[in-house]
Amino acid sequence: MAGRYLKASRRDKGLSSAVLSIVSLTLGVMALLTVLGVMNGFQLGFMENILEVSSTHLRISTPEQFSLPLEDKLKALPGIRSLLPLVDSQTLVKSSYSSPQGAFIRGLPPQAWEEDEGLKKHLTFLEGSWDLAQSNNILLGSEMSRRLGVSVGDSLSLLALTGPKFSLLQPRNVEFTITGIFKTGYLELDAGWAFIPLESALEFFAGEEDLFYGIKLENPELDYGAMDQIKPLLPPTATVQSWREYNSSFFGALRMEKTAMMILIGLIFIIVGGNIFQSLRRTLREREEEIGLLKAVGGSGSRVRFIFLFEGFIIGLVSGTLGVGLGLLLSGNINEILSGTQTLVSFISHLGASEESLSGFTSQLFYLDRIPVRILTHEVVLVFVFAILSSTISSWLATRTVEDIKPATVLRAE
Amino acid sequence: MSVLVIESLKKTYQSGRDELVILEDLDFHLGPGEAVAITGDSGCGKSTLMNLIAGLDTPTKGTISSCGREISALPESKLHDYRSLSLGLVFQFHFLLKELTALENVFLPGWMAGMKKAEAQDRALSLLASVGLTERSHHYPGELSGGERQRVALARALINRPPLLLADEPTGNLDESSSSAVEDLLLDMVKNEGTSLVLVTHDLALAQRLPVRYRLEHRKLWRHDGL
Repeated sequence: MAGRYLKASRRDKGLSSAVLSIVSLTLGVMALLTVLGVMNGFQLGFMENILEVSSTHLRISTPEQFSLPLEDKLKALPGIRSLLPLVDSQTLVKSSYSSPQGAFIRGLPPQAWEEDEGLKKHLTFLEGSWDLAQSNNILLGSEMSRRLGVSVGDSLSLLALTGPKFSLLQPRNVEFTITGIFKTGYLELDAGWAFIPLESALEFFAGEEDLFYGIKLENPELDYGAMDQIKPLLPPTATVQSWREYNSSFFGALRMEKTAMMILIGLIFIIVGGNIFQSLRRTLREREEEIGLLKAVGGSGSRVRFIFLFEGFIIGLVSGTLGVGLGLLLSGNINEILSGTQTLVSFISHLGASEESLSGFTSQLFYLDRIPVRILTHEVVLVFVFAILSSTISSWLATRTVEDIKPATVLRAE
Repeated sequence: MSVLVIESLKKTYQSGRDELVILEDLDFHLGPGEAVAITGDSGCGKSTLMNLIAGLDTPTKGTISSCGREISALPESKLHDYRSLSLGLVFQFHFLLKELTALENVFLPGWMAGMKKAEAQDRALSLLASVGLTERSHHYPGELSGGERQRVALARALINRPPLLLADEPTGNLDESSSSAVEDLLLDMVKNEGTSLVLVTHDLALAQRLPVRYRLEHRKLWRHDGL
């Protein structure tokens, strides 16, 4: 019956309130999915870059290097993808053509490229390649190399502080030769990071006490389980930390940003819910006589109410399905759509001899060439369920009056 | 067991400060399979009495019982069971749902009463056949004539095999030939189904076709077989 009422309302009134409700809810679902997809694309891209290139999934701090058998034992644990000894330091770097600038130096074994699939996946070499075979080799981020005005084969001076103790530290220039220029797609890494061999890092920039082990996991979400497995194998002086702890402020801010955006766009569900509420109230007033009759011939208030409740459910179901379909379509083709729009507007501006044109998402304006989009299944399901819920709950609220309609009014009207 | 027993019924309405007494000390009894006509002037309280019997309104005083159950004491949640299973209603206006076909209009109360859809459909088709509308079962009310709509309404009233059928001016909106056809059907079907009938009408000729007649006058029912 609910389906018949929906069809009838469309037939009777052309662009009926039910159709408007479906259109607005569909647009809401589509907008929310697209925004979530783009935000996920940016945020998860950043997070993956940070986890795979800089922070790693687990860190073991230890005052002394592990023995090879212990390293092998840790690497053999289930869920562990790689384990590398690392040293981090900050220093100044200078080329022949530029003034000194700050740099974050990571020392890591030359074979890290082979052992760590994550590095291979997230570092793209624009020039040269992963080559840390010589102790004075250095790999630079693309943005840093641009700022320093250097390319593969050029020399760089790094400021090192050496001495037996803090009060006797002496500054010293150490020359490195650039063997590769990489890009991660994340500006902070590309502009500030450089990789050198572990031995050089330990010699010039840090002591044994700064060494830590970076562990990459098959599934970063299973970090606490992995920590439980690792801890019993470690010497008592070693401590292990998860990526959630040492990245909590930045990742927390990203999560907060996404939650706030979800809530803001989710407000559309409340607006559409209000629209459905009003339109159903109007429908109920129009169909008061029929409701009275249904109750007079034996329909219970709740059963008659269910008919209209189901109408709201159908609106939610149709809108959710259409919205999810359109949202996925838009998210999957957002770069093409933006590019097409840009071309069209530029063409129209050109016809009108206008100086202005639409500037789209280009690498000249943004650090990325394309808008990254990442659709998460659980979010799609959540948005779909919200669409159905907002419509059904609005209908449930609107149909409370059904219980109050007296069938006797039908007979009186007669 | 009596199909309908009314004892010391009183119904009043408040009109401003005045109390309007519509029915008072009204007693009535209807046995299984009995058919009675109730006539009376406009505004004498016929429709009020029907509403009370149908459980659509509550008495000010007195009791109304149907098949041993005092319906005037039933809560709203139980009244729909009574209206669904024990009562068939035919109004002056057909009140068919325009979005449903004739068949769907007939089987809907059966389905709402818990009958299986297929069973309700079979029963509805057989009732539509009885009122001569087999060919029109998939037509919408807008595609039927006034007489045909009222025949569908009659079939709908009998879908749940109610022991009591209330018909309030069932031919009041029909022309003479349609009236006559609906009257014939109503009386035949009541007889065939073994349903008790309370028929309210202005039409004395129709009233005379029933074996027992009452007149509602001075707030009471008076047996008036000699009409």
